[in-house]
Amino acid sequence: MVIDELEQLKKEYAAELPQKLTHIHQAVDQVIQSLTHRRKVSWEALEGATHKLAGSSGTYGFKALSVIARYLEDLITENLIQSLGPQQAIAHLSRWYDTLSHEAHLAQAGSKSSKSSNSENKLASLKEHWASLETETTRRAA
Amino acid sequence: MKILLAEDDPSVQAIALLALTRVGKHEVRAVANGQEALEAVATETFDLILLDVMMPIMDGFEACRQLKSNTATKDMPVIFLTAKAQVYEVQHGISVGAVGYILKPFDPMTLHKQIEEVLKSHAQAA
Repeated sequence: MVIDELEQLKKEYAAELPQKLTHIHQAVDQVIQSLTHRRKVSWEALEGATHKLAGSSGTYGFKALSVIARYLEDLITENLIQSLGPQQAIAHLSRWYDTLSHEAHLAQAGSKSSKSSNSENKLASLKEHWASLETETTRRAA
Repeated sequence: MKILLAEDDPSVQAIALLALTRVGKHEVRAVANGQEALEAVATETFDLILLDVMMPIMDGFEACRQLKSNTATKDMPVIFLTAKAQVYEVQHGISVGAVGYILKPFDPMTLHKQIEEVLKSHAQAA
């Protein structure tokens, strides 16, 4: 049955999530290190990793993971996170990664479609955090 | 249909293969980048080429451009299978000769239907 084969693939994908998360963690860490030491930041690896996760996780039915990954990809693609100061960018990246990591663990734990994980609230919380950082950045610039 | 699928992410390639062969009943050859897609069309003919956009070695846009500039392959329809939803990228894809776009995430149970719809609307527009 095709459905059984799909379920099997989904289980295999869920089992690979820790590896994918490690890859993203490395990319986040690289960016944070560059921001911390005021070096030129290369966002490409993180943008690529979030792009891949957004596409693959959603196709496997992990919608919340996809939405959270796409959120950061868009911030990078549209040069928004780059416009923050280093400390704000680090704070937001850290918060984003915690949210993603939590979601990935939930997904892996039950290979559930992560509907139960209240993803809309988590994304809303990320967006709220983002708005407060943007406001602060604008205020400082003024 | 005989389909060439170019997708570098093994997990997406696996589910797309399942969707196209087991659900859609198509014959599929899968490759991992645009360069391999060009190599595949040099020896085989396909009814459809599905290209991811962001791939190493050669991306989907460049592969499509080369496919369309070659008289032997220019008539093979190309559809981009990509997570990139921005309008300017869709327009770029069409400008290099694609007949349409299917956005990731896709539903593996209905991917074959989406392909049919893209091809149908392109045929109607032509």
